[in-house]
Amino acid sequence: MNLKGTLPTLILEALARQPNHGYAIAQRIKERSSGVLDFKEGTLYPALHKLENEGLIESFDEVESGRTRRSYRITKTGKAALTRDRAEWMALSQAVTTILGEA
Amino acid sequence: MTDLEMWLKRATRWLSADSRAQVRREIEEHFHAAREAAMGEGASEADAERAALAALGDARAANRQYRRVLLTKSEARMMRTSARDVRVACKNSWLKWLLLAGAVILLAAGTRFWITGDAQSTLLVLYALSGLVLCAVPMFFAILTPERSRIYRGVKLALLLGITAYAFVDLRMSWLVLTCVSYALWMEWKRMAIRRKTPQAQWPKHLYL
Repeated sequence: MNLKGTLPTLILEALARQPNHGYAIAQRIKERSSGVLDFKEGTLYPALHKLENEGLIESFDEVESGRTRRSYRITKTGKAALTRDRAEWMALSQAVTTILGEA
Repeated sequence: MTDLEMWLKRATRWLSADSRAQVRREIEEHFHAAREAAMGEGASEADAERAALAALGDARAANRQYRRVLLTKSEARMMRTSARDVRVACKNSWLKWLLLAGAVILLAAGTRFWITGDAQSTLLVLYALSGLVLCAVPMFFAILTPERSRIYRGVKLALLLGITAYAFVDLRMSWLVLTCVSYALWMEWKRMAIRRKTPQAQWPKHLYL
């Protein structure tokens, strides 16, 4: 399914629970959507950079199994943006469901 | 050259050296994590690598997206040049005063022509005012907060657009105005892209201007 436009929100949602690195974020999105939301992983990092540039997430290095990895965590601004995005999505989803349900 | 190297080469085309290193690091990390996960599920090394690479998707599409969020070669070059120019201006205080004096003389000359009714004087006054505002404000006020920076950049853009608009009113000087202003507008456009791609906390001083 095409994720265009929703990937940043899904990344914020994945990071709202705990800080994580890129691969784990991608896997979390795929697993939680039972594989319905599939996307090319090469596009994940540009989305992460965009969120970081906007101050919605921040990156830090952590050592895992002796290897340094770049991880990301959500910021306070990011949490506020996620709350806003979630409310917008719920409203949109409800409206579409209502219309499709009428057909 | 391995398939991953090929992918990275395509995905990092036109990016600055720092951006290229950053992409290389994160994609290699991701690739190794994906490969290890696939091998953990019983895939052979070759199959695991093929699957990890396929999951990354089209390198050209990734490149297009990377260029929207990371600095390109030309933007990184512009950052270096701007930083050098600001350093030179800050080190030589006489240079600032010389620029300011030039703008004041130009303003005085423009006002004199304007009073005597010269048609092209308005253009001269516009140029002088723009020069005065753009040179003098950073000299006397520290524009290092997002709000001040936004106001300064707004005034700068309004002046540039004002001069551009005037070029269409007085067509005799339009070739000169458009030549000067189009370069300034192009520089502003590039600087806007750089600001968008750099977190505000990491902005060097010259990006506030």
